[in-house]
Amino acid sequence: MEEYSDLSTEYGFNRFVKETEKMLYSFAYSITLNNEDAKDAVQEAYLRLFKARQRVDYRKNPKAYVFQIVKNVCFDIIGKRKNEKTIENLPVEEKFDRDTIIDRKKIISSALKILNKQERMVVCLLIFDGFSSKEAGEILGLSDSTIRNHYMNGRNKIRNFIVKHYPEYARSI
Amino acid sequence: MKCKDIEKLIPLYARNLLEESIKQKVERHLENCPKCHRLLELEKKITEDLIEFLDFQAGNQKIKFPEKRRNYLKMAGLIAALFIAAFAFFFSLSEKSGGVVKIKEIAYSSPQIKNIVRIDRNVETKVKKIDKNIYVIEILRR
Repeated sequence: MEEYSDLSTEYGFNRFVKETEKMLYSFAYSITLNNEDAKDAVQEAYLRLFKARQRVDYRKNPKAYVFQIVKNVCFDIIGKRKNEKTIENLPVEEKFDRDTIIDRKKIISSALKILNKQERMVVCLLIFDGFSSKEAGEILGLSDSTIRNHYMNGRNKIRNFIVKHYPEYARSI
Repeated sequence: MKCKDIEKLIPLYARNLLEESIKQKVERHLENCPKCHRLLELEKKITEDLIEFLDFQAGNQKIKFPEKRRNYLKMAGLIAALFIAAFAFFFSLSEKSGGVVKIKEIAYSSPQIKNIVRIDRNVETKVKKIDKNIYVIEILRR
């Protein structure tokens, strides 16, 4: 992992934002499943980090710290929203298009919706290779073994969903 | 181990999250079982597509720092227009009275009441758009 000891300088901070924003956004999206909310959460998280940059020891692990913030902001956003039900336990569409052209993005998007929030967060943190399972546990406040369990369950759900509903996707490899 | 057990462990195997002893067992099974090996290939493909999907979502967003709130982004155009209108208004005032009015700050008092505008923290105005580029500014409080 990179060192961000110069986070207090404008250059260092901007570099940190540049290097983390894509992954941070993906993580926020994995929680909210909504582009606008994810964008708001990421902006808010960087703003909070910026305000607190003199107070916290970022050399420890600034990346994990900002992911923790974005997680909290996302939970706040979800908590405030009344139609939370539309995100958790979202009913999977009954009809599955049997198009000849496989829309992979659509398939992945529907597959993510069948996971619960915890599983989505863990899957997102671990697929990018940016964090170890221990670091992911630090961010989410879970033990290493719980992280592995969530990852295993989440990924198995996704694969089983695809095999069941989109066999042409599975065949195409 | 049976195929059913291996299937469950494939995600952890692919992400290298298994203990060495279990990892070796899975490895041996995969060498001899084309069905499970195919599932591993599928797992890798799904990983690629998940990354692509999330990257795509992130790539479509322009995250700006330190823009604070969405309201400001949405209203940026309107704020600019109002600023010009307010400035023109004060300029005409200052010409009549002979003094110079400098506007330091212009801000909304409330995102809900969009036509109420505060200028320099103490002047509260009500802005009404009557035509393209033409605004009536009513001073409510100063």
